[in-house]
Amino acid sequence: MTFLAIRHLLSRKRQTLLILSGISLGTLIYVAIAGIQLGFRQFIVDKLINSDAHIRITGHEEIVTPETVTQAIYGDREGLVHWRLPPSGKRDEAHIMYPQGWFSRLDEDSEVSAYAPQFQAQAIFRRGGVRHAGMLAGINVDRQLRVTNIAQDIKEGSFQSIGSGGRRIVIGQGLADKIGARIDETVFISTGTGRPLPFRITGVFKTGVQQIDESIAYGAIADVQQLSGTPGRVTNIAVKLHDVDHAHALAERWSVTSRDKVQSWDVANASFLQLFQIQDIIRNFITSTVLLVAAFGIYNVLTIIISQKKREIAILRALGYSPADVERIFLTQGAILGGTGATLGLVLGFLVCKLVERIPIKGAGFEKFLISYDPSIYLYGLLMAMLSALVASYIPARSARRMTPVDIIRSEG
Amino acid sequence: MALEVRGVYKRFTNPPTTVLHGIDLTIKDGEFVTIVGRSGSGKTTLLYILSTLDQPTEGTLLINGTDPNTLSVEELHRFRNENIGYVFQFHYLLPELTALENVLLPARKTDSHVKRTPYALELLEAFGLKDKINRYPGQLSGGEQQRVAIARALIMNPRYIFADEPTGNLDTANGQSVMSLLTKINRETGSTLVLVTHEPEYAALAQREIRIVDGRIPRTEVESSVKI
Repeated sequence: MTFLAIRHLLSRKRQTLLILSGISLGTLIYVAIAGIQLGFRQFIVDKLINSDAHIRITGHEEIVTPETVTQAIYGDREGLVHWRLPPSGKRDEAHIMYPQGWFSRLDEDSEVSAYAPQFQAQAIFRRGGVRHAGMLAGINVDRQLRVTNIAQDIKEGSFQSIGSGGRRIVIGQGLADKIGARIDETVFISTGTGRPLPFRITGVFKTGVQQIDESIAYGAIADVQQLSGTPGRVTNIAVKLHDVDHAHALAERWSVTSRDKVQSWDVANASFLQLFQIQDIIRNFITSTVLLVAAFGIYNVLTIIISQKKREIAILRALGYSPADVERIFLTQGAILGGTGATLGLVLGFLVCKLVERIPIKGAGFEKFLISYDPSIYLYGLLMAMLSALVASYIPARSARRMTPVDIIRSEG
Repeated sequence: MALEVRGVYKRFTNPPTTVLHGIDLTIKDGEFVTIVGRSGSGKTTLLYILSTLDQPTEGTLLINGTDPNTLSVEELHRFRNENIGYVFQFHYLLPELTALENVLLPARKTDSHVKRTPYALELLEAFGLKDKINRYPGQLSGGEQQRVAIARALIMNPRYIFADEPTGNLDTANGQSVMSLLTKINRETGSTLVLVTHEPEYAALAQREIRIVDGRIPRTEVESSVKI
């Protein structure tokens, strides 16, 4: 059957080539777009997962509402109380009420690989006459290094230089530029509550994510707590897990039994992930359009071939080829077209990816396009092309199967 | 060991016509039989029923005592492949295959085409096509095409050969050479040969002539044919 299928295809070289290029173009586009999109996505997800915590526990924002006050003073008699001036406001800044409880819980949990308590405060950075608002994150150096890979992003100095006190900070490259500071210089930092205190810059980092680089500085947790006049306070705990895929489920479980806000990295970055979904839709849409056109090509050509080849189908049947054999001849043509076209497309797509990879790009923390060569992209591309080719050839093959030799010969005679 | 039809009727629904009216016929193995009659008499339909390509509306076909129409589709096609060779009025060669590949086409069904290649070459040589085995049908003359088609019918050494006006599209010289090929095969291999033809001269070559008139075999014909 394969022999006849190949001979049929070879006897129509131009049509065969046209269809082959259609299918390979579809596969190529899929492989190239998927490679670029997924490569970039891997980079982003990597950054999101590793520069931030897998799970972040933050204090519950306690906002005063009429309901909570009514409840607290009058109990359950709702509806009887009417406020002339409804109470509103906020009692305190959000922080974790009982960090010790979390610490012992995280210590015991076998899923947790490491955790790092932080005290984050909005701060004004000042050097000379230049001010810039940002965030000062008080951390414990050892714990922080176990949770994130910030050490990789250090451009000057070292992260360890923060120590456990002594007012030293490691500052984002962008933030340093904003206030015109360099390593070993002193900046004054104020959180708005107490007097500004001098901190010495002992390190500069650059993650490639602008929002982080332009706003964050790290210092020892004790220093930052002292600066804002809230000793012992923890605003959040960054948790690293052994398996990042469990983050979502684990975060949901923890939040059930706690007043604090427990967020996994994917929830915290939901907008990014939504963007990825839109990318997926666009990519699949483009690819299926191209493959649909190619499939119509296969369908058309096979339908024409079959109507032109009625006589030969009749003689094949008379020579002892069964209806299933005849169907197979045409299905095989579809499979050959799909398989060859897809393979060609995969190879070309791979080459296009290699080519795109060599295009240099400035900034953004990477020097070139990040391309994913995940085998599943290639597998999926192959499957899509094969499937569309087979479906497109199935319908005409089916009609060839139904032809009976006598009817054909009689109508010819 | 024979080819038999018993009480065969063939009706078509559109338009409603009855082509065969209760045909009874026995063709012994190794016989050379011609079926003659006017066009529209039902002779071609009878040939198709005898050769399993068409099914009777009523009645049975028995080949060596078994009804091929009771076989499964796959078995029926295998039976055709191994036991029946066809030669049609038109050659029906596959245009994308060479003469040799066309001859070996039935053998491909059972993957025996390599094994039968020497035999195919032998047949083509015997038919005077030795230097044309790699030509495509489009590069052959009408007579040559028909000879290739006959070689294809013979490649599986079939017990039955059915020919439907094989000389219909050929000039006299080519027609005669095709006919002499067919009769020679019948003589030498002992294959049963059933031939539908218009031409009295070819019909006379047969051991028996079956005349069909309006879908029936007239009684006298049956008797007279038995005498021969």
